[in-house]
Amino acid sequence: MKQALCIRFAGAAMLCAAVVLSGCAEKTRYGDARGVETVTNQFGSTDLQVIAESMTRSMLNTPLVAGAERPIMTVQEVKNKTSEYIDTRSITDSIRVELQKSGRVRFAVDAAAMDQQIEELKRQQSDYYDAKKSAEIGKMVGAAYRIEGNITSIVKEAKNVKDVYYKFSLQLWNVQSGLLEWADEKEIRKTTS
Amino acid sequence: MKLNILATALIASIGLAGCASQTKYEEPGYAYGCPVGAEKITSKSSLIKAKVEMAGSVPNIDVVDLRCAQRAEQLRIDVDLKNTGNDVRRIAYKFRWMDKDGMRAWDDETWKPVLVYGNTIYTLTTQPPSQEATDFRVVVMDQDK
Repeated sequence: MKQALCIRFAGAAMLCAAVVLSGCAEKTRYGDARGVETVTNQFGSTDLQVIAESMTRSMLNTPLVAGAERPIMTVQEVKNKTSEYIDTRSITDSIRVELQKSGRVRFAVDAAAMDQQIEELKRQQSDYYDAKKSAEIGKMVGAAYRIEGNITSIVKEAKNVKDVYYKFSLQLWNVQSGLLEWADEKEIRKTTS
Repeated sequence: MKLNILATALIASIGLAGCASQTKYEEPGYAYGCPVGAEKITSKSSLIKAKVEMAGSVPNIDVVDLRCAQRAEQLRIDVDLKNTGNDVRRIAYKFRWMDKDGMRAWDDETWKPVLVYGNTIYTLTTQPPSQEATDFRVVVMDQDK
């Protein structure tokens, strides 16, 4: 009798434990990669996407880019002047992709990809390649415009409030004349309390 | 007598011309400057209905105006959102882009968070991301939930 009661009690305890443990189990789901992300107030995916989209649309609206002639550009550095780590290359990559997809701009190889470009050109000059079908040295096209910018932040913290303000500035410079052809900035404020 | 009739006719014609509504001729497939394809748009409210999608309920947020204009051979779109309540509302929006055949012309835009103060109007402004993107929808979603 006593043994039967013990077995029943142990069974019930195991069932309860299983229910509790299953409740604690982590669940992984796919989310919207373009959704609004507010997990923390650090620089996040929404900030990156909003900045890239805002800058691209603004640049597409300038007469220089809106015209029939597709200008050749190159992307230079976006300086991170904030106190946190931000992969600014990721921002400029997104801007470049959107501009390229728009079909109104062409991009020349940038400084970061230059080594690979030269390496490939040299490789094609080797005896392994058909000289008639190989890319010639000295035919690369230089960019007429360069894109550069910076991102800054102001962080303020009080008792239970943290306020972060980001400012992303981007400029388009004429390489030959040194003239500033276009500039814009995007501001983002995030407050956690 | 003849003079009287002439004068009356002249006054009447001036009066009628003054009352006549100004008719603007639009390109086929356009209404109020906005691309509408084959949809029949008879008023501004029907244009808003055709162009705006609410992702779920978005209380106290009304789309009160939608304007399209050609600027430097590019379509420019302004959408006025009004917060009819007294409290600040947080919403998000994105545009969907289609080509002239109604096919998707651009990847999904990112949801852009926006803060609309009580009893004020916030204007969403955009331009098409490419030359193929000639038609659009604006999608609005609540962020306060």
